[in-house]
Amino acid sequence: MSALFTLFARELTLAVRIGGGALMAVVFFLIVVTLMPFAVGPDLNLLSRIGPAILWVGVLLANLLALDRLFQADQEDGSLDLMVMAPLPLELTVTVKALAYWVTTGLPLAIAAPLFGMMLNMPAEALGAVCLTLLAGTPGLTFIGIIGAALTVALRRGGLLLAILVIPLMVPVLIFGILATSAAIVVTSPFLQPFLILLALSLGAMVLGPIAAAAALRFGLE
Amino acid sequence: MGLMDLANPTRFMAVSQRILPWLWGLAAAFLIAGLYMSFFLAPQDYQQGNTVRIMFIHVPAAWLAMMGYSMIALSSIGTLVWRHPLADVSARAAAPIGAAFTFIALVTGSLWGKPMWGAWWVWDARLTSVLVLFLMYLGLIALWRAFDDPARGARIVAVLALVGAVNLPIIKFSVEWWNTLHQPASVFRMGGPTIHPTILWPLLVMAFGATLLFLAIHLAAMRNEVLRRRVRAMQITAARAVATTGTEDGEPELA
Amino acid sequence: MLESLGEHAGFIAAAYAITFVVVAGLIIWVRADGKAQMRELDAMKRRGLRRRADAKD
Repeated sequence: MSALFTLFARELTLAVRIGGGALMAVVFFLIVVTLMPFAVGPDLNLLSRIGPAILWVGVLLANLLALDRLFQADQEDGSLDLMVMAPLPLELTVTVKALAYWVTTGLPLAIAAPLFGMMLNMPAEALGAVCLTLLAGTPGLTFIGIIGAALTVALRRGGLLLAILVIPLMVPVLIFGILATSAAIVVTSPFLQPFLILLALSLGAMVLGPIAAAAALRFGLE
Repeated sequence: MGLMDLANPTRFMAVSQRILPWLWGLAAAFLIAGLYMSFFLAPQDYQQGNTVRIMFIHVPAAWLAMMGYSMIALSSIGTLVWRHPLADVSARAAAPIGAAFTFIALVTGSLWGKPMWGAWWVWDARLTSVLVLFLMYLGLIALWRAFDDPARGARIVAVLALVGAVNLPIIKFSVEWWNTLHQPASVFRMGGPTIHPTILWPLLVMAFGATLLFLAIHLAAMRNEVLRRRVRAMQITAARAVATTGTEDGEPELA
Repeated sequence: MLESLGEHAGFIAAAYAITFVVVAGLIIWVRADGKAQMRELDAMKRRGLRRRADAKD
């Protein structure tokens, strides 16, 4: 257990020390949100209507940014070999790394989202909903993303490939994240049903992701 | 002869060489019969007129898109569980063919949609799911191409193929849910019993012929892949021989 | 024959034409690729290289 905590602490330290980790993703998110009014015009009615979509797509993309370094950095300095050979199951190690990634990337993005939502003139209840759905959905995005990170670990230019591989798999999370969010704005559609499915998707990804990622890492290092 | 005998690459090459001409011939016969039936025997649809004839290629292509991915997923299980090189050869050969048929399903769907909906592309649940499937095919092919050693990439791509196979039903379910909320009407109503036999029979013959065609191309592509790996193995052997003895045919047994 | 397909003949013809081109492309690719691999193997055999599997036969 203490090995897992040590690893978790190491991941957090690395993420904070190298290039301000968490902050970079949030800044990228802010840039995506800033681009949108330039693209569709400063019409506040329109922006508040498509606000949840902008925030969710922005988070989805920002969450991918640092993913390709998740295992690659460990591979370059040799610590990945140690993790694979350690008595700890690789699936658990991968889970801890993914959780640390979520704490330093997904969590700040979900917290920043309501702030940026205010810039898009979204109503207060929608801001709460977008924060809540992102908190529920970003673990799903991260745990799907680590599969791609593990698949491309042996490749020199894996960044773009990683995005191509995992984004199609993130479609369900995006769909139900948006559905639950817009339920807070449009009173007619139910909130709980899509939200529970979103949670189920995240939980499913937390099971499937580490198993697939650990398998890919083992095969990649042989 | 059991399936296990076929798993030997040399045996596979011998058997596939004998089967392949028959497969090509059967596929051609069924497709010609299917085309004749769909153009001259099938009536016009009372709503869609002659555009219903696009269905005779669209539906088989969509079916093959799914079958191709299932083939890759099954082969990937073979790669991961038995580590059999032929399983990887099968998955690798199926990917571009499946992607091509997925492309056909998308293009014919678009050409069918234009007269029906008045737009080249409508975010209909079926078309959108097929589009995501197409993206997943492209991802698989891209990942395969990223590894220069086919043996090394085999099991990694197999992991991706299986993750995709687990996700496909979820994606299909979410896209359908998303679609019913946004726009209900769809032209692609293919409710089993309501379809008329004069439409159903040409469709079945076309689908069967297209499946045979898929299998024939797949088998031929598998043979090519086996040959490609032989060439590669011989090149590596020769290169190593040059490195150790200085002559090409020096000690090929070394490798 | 095109006229008999009615007002949407162009769409139907285009769908069949594109399908034909893609399928023909697949078949031509698979045949050409096979021929190329065979040529490569023959060239290596002429140079006196043999597969280990062949040597055992």
